Amino acid sequence: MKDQDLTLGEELRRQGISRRSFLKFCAAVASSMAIPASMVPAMAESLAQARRQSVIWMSYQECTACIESLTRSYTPTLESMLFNFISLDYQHALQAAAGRQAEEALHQAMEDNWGEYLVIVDGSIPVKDNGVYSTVDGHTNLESIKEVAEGAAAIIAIGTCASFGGVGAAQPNPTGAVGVDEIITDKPILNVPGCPPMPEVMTGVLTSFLSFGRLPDVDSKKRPLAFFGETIHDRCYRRPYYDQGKYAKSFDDEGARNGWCLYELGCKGPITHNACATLKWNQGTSWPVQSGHGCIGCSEPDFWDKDSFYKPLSAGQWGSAEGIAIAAAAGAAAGVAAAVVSRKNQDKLSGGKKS
Amino acid sequence: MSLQDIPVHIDLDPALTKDDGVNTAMVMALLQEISTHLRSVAEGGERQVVELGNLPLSDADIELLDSKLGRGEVSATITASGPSEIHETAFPGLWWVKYFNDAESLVSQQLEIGPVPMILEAHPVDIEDSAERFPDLFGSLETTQQ
Repeated sequence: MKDQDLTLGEELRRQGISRRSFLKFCAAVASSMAIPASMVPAMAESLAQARRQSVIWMSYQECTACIESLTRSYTPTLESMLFNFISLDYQHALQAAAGRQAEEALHQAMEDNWGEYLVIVDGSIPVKDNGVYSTVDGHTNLESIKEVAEGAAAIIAIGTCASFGGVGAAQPNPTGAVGVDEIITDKPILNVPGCPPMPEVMTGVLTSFLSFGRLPDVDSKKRPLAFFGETIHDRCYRRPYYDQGKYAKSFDDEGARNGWCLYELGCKGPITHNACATLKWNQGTSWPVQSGHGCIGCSEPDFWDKDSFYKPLSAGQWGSAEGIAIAAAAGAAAGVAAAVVSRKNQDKLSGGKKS
Repeated sequence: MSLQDIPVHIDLDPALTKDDGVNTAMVMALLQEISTHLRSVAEGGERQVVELGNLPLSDADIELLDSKLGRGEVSATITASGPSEIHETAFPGLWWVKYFNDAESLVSQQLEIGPVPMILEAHPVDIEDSAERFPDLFGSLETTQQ
């Protein structure tokens, strides 16, 4: 029997992985996605019935930090479980094949799984001068994404470059770099921005696609709400200091040493949507604000073209009205509001069923 | 292969991985929610789970919650894709469940309200598997007796 013929449950059983391990994996994913924990057993059952998903990974104008980040989700045991769920049929940096052989593997995977494969893209795509600035095997990235997207079930744009153009699109954008959704308009597209993106988001998105058969709900920038529904500021453990008006004024003053709010040192937390404040980085070790540095807003479009990382939002570079209005709004209600939004996400995912 | 197989050790002071946040109003909100869940489970309702990882709790909040809930009669460790730790709080039926990954860092922690935490129960598929494997013991016994 081919690998693809086994359900994921049968595959795990063949490898001697207990259902308890499987349940734990689902609990970890559900936790990161604000899926009600009461849904975990049903999610595990549904995932056990799924089959391995063909994934084709296209790398365009990128720096490889996205894959560096994503191969570190949850560290070895739980991460390796994810690799039982997908068949990574094409990925430049990881595959053994090279040159013509690699391109043949790509076309074979597309033919075998036409209409069903998932495409993951990292890196921006140059469109200026017919896209001549980045080519693979004699084809421009522009030709390549159109060809691969045609047979895809859905596309996941990984990192700020594939989502919004990223560093490649920085002023003056010499190659005319854009994100995937400016080229492909007839397929479901999910953006997972961040420079780099959080590994848990990738695990969560793939697992929920396999369990529920569709991409998760998204915001206006096509980002999954479960991870990008709230701002860094709303989830920040330093939020109470903001509410009390206690700010660090320099990186070495009393406020900085006491762990006060970094708003005046340029923190972009109030207008940045990402999950760093609760998921943290490096297996939950820490995250920028906990290390004493403000958020630089890397999961928002054009974050590097908005003047200094160290100017406060109230100085106006980040679409002044938005930054100031949000920062000034509803101080004391914030903690409660965050919990309410979180519950709202849970209700949506459970179809209104109370957790 | 796990992180333990790599001969590099990170000598990290656990105090440094804690955030320096203060107590927030979240703990009071949580206690109210748990109270509602305990009442519904006591009246025969289905299992309830409160995920702690997604709430904006500071480490100080978690410590406060832990000290208020206390320790009960049961504690258990599970070894499946890394350790998981469970203890019953001073309130029977209210369980604190922590999932760790291979490197023993916390992946997720939850409060579970019900007779038994779900991760403790053996899954029917695993039980079926052991029913299939168990008769192998008969053969092994005959060999040792000969």
